[in-house]
Amino acid sequence: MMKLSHFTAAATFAASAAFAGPAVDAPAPAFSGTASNGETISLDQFKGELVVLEWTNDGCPFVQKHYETGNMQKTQRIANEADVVWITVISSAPGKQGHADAARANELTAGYKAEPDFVLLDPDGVVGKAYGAKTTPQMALIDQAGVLRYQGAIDDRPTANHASVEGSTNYLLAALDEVSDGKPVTVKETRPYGCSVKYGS
Amino acid sequence: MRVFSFLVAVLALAAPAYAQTTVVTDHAQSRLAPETDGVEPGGVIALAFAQRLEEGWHVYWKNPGDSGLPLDFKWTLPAGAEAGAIYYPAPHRIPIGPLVNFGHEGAPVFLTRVTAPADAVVGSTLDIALEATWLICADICVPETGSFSLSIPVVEKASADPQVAALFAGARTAMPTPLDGEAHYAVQGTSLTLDIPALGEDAYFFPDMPGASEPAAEQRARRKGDRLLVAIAGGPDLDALSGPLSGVIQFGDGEGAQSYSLTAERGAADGGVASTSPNAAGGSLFALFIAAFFGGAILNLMPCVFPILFVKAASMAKAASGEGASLRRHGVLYGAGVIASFAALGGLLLLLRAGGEEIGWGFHLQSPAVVALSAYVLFAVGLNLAGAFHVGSSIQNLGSGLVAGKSGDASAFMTGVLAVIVAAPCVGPLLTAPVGAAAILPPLQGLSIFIAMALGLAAPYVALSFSPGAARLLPKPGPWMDRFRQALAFPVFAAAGFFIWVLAAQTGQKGLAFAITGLIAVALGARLWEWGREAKGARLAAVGLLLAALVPVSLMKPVVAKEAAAGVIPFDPSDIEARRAAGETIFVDFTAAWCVTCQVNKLTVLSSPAVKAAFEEKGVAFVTADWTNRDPAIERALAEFGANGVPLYLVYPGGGEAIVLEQPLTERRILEALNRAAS
Repeated sequence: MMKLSHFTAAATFAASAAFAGPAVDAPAPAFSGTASNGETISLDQFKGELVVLEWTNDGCPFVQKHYETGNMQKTQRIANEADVVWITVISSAPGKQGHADAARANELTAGYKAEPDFVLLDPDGVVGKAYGAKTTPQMALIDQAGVLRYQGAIDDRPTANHASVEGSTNYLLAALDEVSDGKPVTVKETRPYGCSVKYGS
Repeated sequence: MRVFSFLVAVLALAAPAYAQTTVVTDHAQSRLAPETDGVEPGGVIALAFAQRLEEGWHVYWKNPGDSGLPLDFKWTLPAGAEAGAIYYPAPHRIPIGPLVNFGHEGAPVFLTRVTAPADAVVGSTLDIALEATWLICADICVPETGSFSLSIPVVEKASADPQVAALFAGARTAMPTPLDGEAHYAVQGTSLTLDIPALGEDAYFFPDMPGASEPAAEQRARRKGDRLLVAIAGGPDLDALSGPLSGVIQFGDGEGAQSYSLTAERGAADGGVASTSPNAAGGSLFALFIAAFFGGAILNLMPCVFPILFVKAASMAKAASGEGASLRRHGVLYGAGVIASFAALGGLLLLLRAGGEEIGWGFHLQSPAVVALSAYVLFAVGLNLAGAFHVGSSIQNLGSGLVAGKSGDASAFMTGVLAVIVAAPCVGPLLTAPVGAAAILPPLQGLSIFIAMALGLAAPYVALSFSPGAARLLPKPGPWMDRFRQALAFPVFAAAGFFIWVLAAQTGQKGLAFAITGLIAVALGARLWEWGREAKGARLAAVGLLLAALVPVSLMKPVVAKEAAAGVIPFDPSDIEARRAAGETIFVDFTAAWCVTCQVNKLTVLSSPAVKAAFEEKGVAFVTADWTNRDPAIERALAEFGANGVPLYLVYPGGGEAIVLEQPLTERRILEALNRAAS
């Protein structure tokens, strides 16, 4: 028994400072913030609707792959048809790559012919950190009850090579299909790929 | 940079045509260099992919960490030639804001190899082409690509090219060295523990598999003898980890860092986690069995178990004059009931843990429904003992049951099951170590510990049933026995009351109201059963009523919000970290309403004037980790201290590492730990 107490004393708490995302199939973290159209939006107001969050940084080659090939816009259109509220989130801090004020964000949206419902300006990274957003692009899907149903990469091609879009499996759309049909999501979480989100600290 | 690029370009031009090719991109110069002056037919040639990165920029290790991508090689090779894997230099942690990447800065050299076709003709050349893609990042990221081609002479005997000897030697020095010694790992909930030889104290583990760990989380290493236990926060893909875990362990940081590659076997998959298992901690599995067996035997004396056992023994004495064979059969059946219940409970615990549930011993008591049912069963047993009702072949008139045959057999088995039900909350300090070990040992060994406990619980009665001589030593049956049996109803009622009290703690007033309604239903059901001796319909009504009593049970929900009593600090790991950082001394009491040992400690040791005064004097923050209802954070904390259930008591001396108090808890142990904290 004495020896066993050594064993008991052996391990310690794992550190708590992990930069990890929220749990899937649990309520999505609440947030509110200013969108590029000047409106203050919050997750609560979209209760009853499907919500997609997309982290972006226009200077990131991985984001460029999806916008220059039209893959992201296509994904947005399909989501729009399914009455999804699409919120593009910019968590780059001022002075960092991809940072945008409202005017610049609107210019980028127009320039890419992108179709988000809102572009959320998150220069202090609060929303990004709440969702454990590590990369751009990174996606999250929240169902009508406010439950997080998918988080991770947009697809299965972790490269900035434009040609890789062809034949890729779009995880977000797959999850969206399943949630729309009231089915459980098969792939709930993937490791996102891309550039690190350019947080201020 | 410009001058350097120029030099590289000149060197590239000056080098022999086949020897190396260099590509200059925006943020790196990269070259592909063979180690030898040629390759033999069917032979292997090592190649270095050497990069010089712009200052402040980095490329990625095979597991890039929170973001980024590893190096990607696309080869164009002649038929019959083959390219091998990429060997990476030891990685470094590169913090990017709150994220951490694993990668390389400065001049990383990656090694790989190409095997020539066996039928390559001496005198010809092996023409190979490589398209390499790497993501290079500073604050921003840029994917870069370089195309390289080499014409390697096919020779009779290849010899090393002295011009690149230093490059290859440097590359091999920068690779992690294979770890000498055994490595194991275990997964507990969302964290994993790596058990390695202690070649240093300050350690960080880079898993090969992306998503196995949280790169930005701090890792805690603790030495134990010549082993080091590294606690690692698991990443999103930890669930996908099943076989061996490979990666690089780094001791120290920066220039002097020592890196070793390792492949850790999963504890549950092979013979046990070397040092996180009590096995290698110096004890042996055998010692655990002994501890489990005696702990189980002592359970017989617990106030909740003893009455049931006594009645059993008494009825045996009554029947002692009867057939020895059926007596023995009943003893064995009782033992089987105990073992089956323990095995079922233990098996379920291990199964749920294997499935990733964060639970420990007593987990079933975290379900209000189980607690309520336990109260009902005990209440019914009490009513039966008190003589309020009789069941055909109940434990009360087992004597006739023995003659009755089959139903007597069932009764003996059910008594075993009942003994385990009432014993579960009494699993005390003697059993916490074996139970804790059982949860992390490989499943079969874990289960065998539960069975050793069951054997201990069953042993006294089974032994008695096998020695009729000893049975005759019991007092002669007589009218006193009936009175004693009736008296024994009251400890059983007390045990039922204890369960109701636990239920009130779990579910609040609403649950309490349900439970009391249920108890009345049980009492009424018992009465109806008795009336049923004359009127058959009453028995049916009794059964209906008992079933109806189960309805409120299913409605009972744990009360989520814990009301913090005045002066009680609820358990929160980040709060503990903050208090530690502030240099506070902290006492953590891991407890649960259903844990008898915890309640006894609370009323005695923790409430003693000496302990209270010491807490007061030293300004100790008393943190209560209440595990009455399920709480993954508490479960994780218990697991990290090797405990699988409550009670557990910790003292964090001002700012220092936790001291686990040995059990049974005594005043002296608390005061000593506090004094150590003070000094």
